[in-house]
Amino acid sequence: MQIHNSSTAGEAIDSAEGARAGQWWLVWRKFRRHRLAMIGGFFTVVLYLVVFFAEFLAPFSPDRYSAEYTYAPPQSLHLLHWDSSQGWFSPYVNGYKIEVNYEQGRRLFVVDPEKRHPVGFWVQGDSYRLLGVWQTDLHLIGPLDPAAPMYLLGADRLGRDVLSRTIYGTRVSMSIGLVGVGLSLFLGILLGGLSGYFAGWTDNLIQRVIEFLQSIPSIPLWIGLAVAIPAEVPPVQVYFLITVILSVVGWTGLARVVRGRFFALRTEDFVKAARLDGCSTLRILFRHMVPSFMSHIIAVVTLAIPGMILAETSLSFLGIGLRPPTVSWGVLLQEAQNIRSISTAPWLLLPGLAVVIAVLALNFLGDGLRDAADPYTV
Amino acid sequence: MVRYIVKRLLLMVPTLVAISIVSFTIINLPPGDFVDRIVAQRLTAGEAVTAQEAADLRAFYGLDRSVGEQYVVWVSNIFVRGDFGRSFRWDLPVRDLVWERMALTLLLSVSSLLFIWVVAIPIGIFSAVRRYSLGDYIATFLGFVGVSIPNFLLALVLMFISFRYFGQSVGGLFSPQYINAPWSLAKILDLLGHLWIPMIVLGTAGTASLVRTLRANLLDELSRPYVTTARTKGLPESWLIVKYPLRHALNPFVSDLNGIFVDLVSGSTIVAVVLSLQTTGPLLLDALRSEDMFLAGSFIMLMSMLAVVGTLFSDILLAWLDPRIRYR
Amino acid sequence: MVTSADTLLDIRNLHVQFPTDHGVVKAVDGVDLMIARGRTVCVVGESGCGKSVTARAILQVIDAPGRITAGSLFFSASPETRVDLAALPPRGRQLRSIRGREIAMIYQEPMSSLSPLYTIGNQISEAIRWHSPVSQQEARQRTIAALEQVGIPQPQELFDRYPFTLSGGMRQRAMIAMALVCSPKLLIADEPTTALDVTTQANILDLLRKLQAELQMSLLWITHDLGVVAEIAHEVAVMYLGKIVEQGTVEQVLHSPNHPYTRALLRSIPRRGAGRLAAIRGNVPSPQQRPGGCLFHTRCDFASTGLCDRVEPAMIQLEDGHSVRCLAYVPHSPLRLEQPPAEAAATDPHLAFSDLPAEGRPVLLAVEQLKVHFPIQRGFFNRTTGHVRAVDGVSFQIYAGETLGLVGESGCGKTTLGHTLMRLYAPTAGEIRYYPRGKADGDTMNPAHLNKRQRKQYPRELRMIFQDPYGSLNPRLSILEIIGEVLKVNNLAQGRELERRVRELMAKVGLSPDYLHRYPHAFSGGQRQRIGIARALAPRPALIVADEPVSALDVSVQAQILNLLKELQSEFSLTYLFISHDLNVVSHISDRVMVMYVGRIVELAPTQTLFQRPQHPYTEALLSAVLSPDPSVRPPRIQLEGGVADPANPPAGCAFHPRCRYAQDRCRHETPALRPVTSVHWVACHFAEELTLHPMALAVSTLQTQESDRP
Ligand SMILES: Nc1ncnc2c1ncn2[C@@H]1O[C@H](COP(=O)(O)OP(=O)(O)O)[C@@H](O)[C@H]1O
Ligand code: SF4
Ligand code: SF4
Ligand SMILES: [Mg+2]
Repeated sequence: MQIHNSSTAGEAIDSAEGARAGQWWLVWRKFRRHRLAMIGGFFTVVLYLVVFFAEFLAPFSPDRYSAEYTYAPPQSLHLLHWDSSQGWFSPYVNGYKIEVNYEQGRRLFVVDPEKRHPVGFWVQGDSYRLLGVWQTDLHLIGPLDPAAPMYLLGADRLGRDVLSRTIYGTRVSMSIGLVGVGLSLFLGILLGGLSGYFAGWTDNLIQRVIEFLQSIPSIPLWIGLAVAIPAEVPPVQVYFLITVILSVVGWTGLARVVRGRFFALRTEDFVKAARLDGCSTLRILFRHMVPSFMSHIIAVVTLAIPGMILAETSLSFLGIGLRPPTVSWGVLLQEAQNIRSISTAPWLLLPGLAVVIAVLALNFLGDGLRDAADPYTV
Repeated sequence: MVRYIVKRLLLMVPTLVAISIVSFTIINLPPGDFVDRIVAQRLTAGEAVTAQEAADLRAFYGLDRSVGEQYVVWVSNIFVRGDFGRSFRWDLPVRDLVWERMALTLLLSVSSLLFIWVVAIPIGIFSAVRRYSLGDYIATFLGFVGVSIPNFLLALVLMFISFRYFGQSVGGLFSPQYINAPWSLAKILDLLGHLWIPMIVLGTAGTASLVRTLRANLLDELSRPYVTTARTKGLPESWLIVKYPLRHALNPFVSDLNGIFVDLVSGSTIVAVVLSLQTTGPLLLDALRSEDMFLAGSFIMLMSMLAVVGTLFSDILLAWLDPRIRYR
Repeated sequence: MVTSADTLLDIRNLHVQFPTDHGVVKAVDGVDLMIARGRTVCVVGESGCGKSVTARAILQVIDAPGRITAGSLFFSASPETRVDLAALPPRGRQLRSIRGREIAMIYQEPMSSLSPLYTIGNQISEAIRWHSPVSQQEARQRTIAALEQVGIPQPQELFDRYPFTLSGGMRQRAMIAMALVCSPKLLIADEPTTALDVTTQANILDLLRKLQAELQMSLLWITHDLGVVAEIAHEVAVMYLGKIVEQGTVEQVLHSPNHPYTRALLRSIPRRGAGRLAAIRGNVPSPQQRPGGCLFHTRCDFASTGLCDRVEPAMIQLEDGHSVRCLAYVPHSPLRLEQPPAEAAATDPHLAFSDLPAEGRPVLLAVEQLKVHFPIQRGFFNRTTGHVRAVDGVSFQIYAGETLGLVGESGCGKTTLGHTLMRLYAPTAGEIRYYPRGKADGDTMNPAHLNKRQRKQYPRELRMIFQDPYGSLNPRLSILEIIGEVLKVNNLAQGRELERRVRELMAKVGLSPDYLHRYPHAFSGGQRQRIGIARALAPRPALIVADEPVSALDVSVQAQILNLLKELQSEFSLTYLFISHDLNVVSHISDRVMVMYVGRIVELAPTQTLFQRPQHPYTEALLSAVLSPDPSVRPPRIQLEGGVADPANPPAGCAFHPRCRYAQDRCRHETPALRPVTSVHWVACHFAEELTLHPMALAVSTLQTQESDRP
């Protein structure tokens, strides 16, 4: 027997609004207080916007190369330059000049403060289809003269713009996280649900499989599977196969959560009450149980995306995940694989920063969601 | 306790069988086999290979038998004679190639694990006991950053920094003169001198996540009634925290020890490639790419077994720490 | 009157506050309390009134973010010394040397108060070793002596056991041993028996009373149960919302209660023969919404507007130590505390307890040789290694319109039986038969073989009320959805009609229909229980299984719910199977009572008969453990040793024989069958006729609460 405190602080929601608040409102109220999570959420939204509007945000197409500007260093963008002749701001970037390093016997680009290439917003450049529908050639930012060099984050070995490539990489890397988690979630809910629902032998078997998969080191397993993808497979299929490979391990964690929640809920009195009310199994599941762990699942899923992103990045970096011409952060980092290239062009590591920001944002977001997932306990 | 250990050991058997099957399956997944690869190589080199020659080669390597047969031969040789087969590519018995690398992998993983514990436990305790202090915020933030950096990136950045600012290249586990030298005291010292960078690279993510878990666990435990009981007994605060909440908070952590260990073994693969360590990673990657099946299979199997043994170890440790498990 | 030399602890004007997101909670708001050497002071009140916080403040072990904001705690270990505990740093050496040595504490939850990771011996001897420089050997000796003192049979062996291998009662004994091992001058006990079975509670109370006399120590006892107060207290302080509202000796407070709150608490205790209970309206306000003026005015029957909601009463001394905080006692007060007319309802013949022979009524439900066994599965392959015989051959009948009470210690199979009737478990053997319009009518339903129509009808006619008002309502559904679910899935009502019916049901159970779209989190425990009742009522059932429906509620709210259940029963001619471990509640509400022990029924009789002429030794022991809130009633108590037998491995013969004081050789071999000793009285004991057993001691029914009639 337990005596419940009939007047705990959590219950003192007496405003009519609070009393009529459903689960999601309460989750939101609790989540809002978590400042880092709000920031994480903001960045996550921004990153997914980048996914949709990559062509517009990137100054150039990712494949545009220029032998003239291999390994050109980043320029800084002079935004607040007042053009007194026009009485208006006219942003610009500096051009490059070539210096020859005689000791190393190499040509090097350096930023030339004398040269100025005017830069504009909403400029015309490479044409593309926005969201795959509207044909356009507008870009958020770009040089007014399409031939002028603009490498805000530097150029790579082939003189391609690292910024544009990183923006395009966002698309693949962020979506592979989502797709991979979606697949894992499907498997996780299916198998975890089966496990929780049938209990007994099915449960035992699935649990052993999960334990087994979790006890094998994942990266050797992934490598083993990824190497098996033949070289001639087209990029889209590679993308899909890689998500499948990542999900092979990814579903286990989700399945455990689903099953754990399932078991916990099954013995709850309110679920018994629903059975006594004459609800069918499906109704008990979807009306009474699933809403109770939906918020938990969302939190767990959010926390699983970073793992997927990191895994894709690692595999691609090793050269066995996605392959050029696909552009992902991992593929971009492949350019920075040895100390020679990093020391000549450290900016090649910048896609790594994108990885860190994305993962950090998702981790913050997921952490906040996890804390807010159960608004009914203090 | 003995019964528990025996039971756990018995439970390991099916796992090991499954591991050997999975390893063997993985290396048989890629289309074609090693002989196809040789044939392709010779063709590019302008040498013609007759079907008869290819068949002979297959027979020589035992690739002409059915996959099931190959598996049985491979496994029984391992169990009967400790013979892991022959590396096609290196033309050496697999066992001559794997053991040293496995030992180094184990050394690296275990030392990273120790590093994680030594660093994470004090920080975790501090964070929980001084909740919402500046130190706690910093630890929490760094913790998040720590888990968000892929370890190969950390390795690259460290390499870049030491190259750019200290003018030396990090990487490898030995200085060049020791790589092929026989084991000696000097070589061991050299190894230890090189070990710390991969150790930090590999341990950062684990440390960060451990600090977060420990903090959360400890905060839960600090509000438990038995802590108040201990306090009302008149125990000093620091003693009390170590004896009760900390000891309790470590349990979920010990049970997750295997998870961390598996991640370390797993993560070392990539770090080793970046830092060119003489551990399993680079050789495994190479073996997989060249379809050197026995070598690759042996690596995957041995690494998995290492992880399974780690799990066993952590389970036993947990049972030893937690009487509830022993009495179950 | 207590002289200052006798004072052990003098609490003066104690204030404890918790700063929270919703404002400052004044948990303790100016408490004055004096504890004399060798005396027992009980602090009583409903949950959330600040009792525990007061207790914890003494040793400064309040949970964060609570803080003592004012007041002093003068502690005199010997008549010459005096320290203010409130002024000592909470982590300092001085306070530490008092904790455990001079003042010790025990808690409600014996399980979570001991760490499962260390042995009992380790945790007890640790206290000794921190306070005195003794060798490990000596600490062990003293620990074993302490364990022996609290009546643990094999203290040597217990020393090396882990807490989770012990029963609740044993654990609480170990906790007491731990508290007493340094011979403290003051023992603070925070509801130490609340989580225990009545029988164990009685044992622990006896033990502590004995030890207190032996060791000449003072006790500060926190409880919500006036029965416990009557049993153990010398002095009593009644607390409400952080303030003491009445204080005096146990006879003063319980025999002539002065404060309306105390009186109402006493009147709301359920008891045999009483009709409608005088419940206190509403519930304890949340700490953020403390009423102004007299804290109790929102619930007080005598409150006078303009006075009680404005003026805050001070503590008024009445006579030798008896004091009260109520404006009616201020000299020349216009207030009169006269019996409210509501009291008249107490003898409403319609609602009064009836002892009709139930035979005359038609049988609604018949259970025959019902067995429910749960397999115990172990190991990798889930091998079945045994069975828990939760219900093991039970036969009885429920008559239409009656309330059949079901009592027994926890773990004896009450809930399993209830769940099986509800078809939540399938019977292992035996039969259940339900007769929708009474047996005579011929229509029969067997829940194991229902046809299609019956599969819909059965669950509508048999409904259930759960114990936990929190866990039994889905927090994610609104009240409309919760109550309406059964109507909706059975196509009994839709849309507008559904809403109308739910509103009607809400009104019936005393909830404002305006709350239709609110979620459970906006309701208190008592209100949630009303929602649960409305849900059970929705499809117009015939039989309701109520599983401990009031156990999680405070006494005042408990009385409201019991009244409601009685009203609904007569309005809708309901039949109840009422499960409870509280014999007072059962005696109040039931027409017949059934006593269960280890999966079997041991006695079944009309309530009056069972309580006055019990014929099973187990019933006798249960009755003797019931506490009466009258301090002058101290029946001889039958000590039931050990715990309830393990239902997976029940003793041979009569399962009760290891604890039975009348057991003979025959009992160890031969299982007694449940047989009629009169036409309405069934007993499962070989010697039912030979034994003369004690009835229940006089309960409150005869306690004339002589409310002092001064104001
Ligand atoms: N940790 C805490 N934070 C906020 N409020 C608390 C805390 N602990 C207790 N309280 C509040 O203090 C009041 C008194 O609680 P308590 O002493 O436990 O009551 P009782 O023991 O009489 O049931 C309650 O209103 C409770 O909500
Ligand atoms: S002061 Fe008024 S409201 Fe308060 S207890 Fe007395 S009569 Fe009731
Ligand atoms: S049968 Fe024997 S042991 Fe059982 S209750 Fe009767 S006297 Fe006691
Ligand atoms: Mg309390």
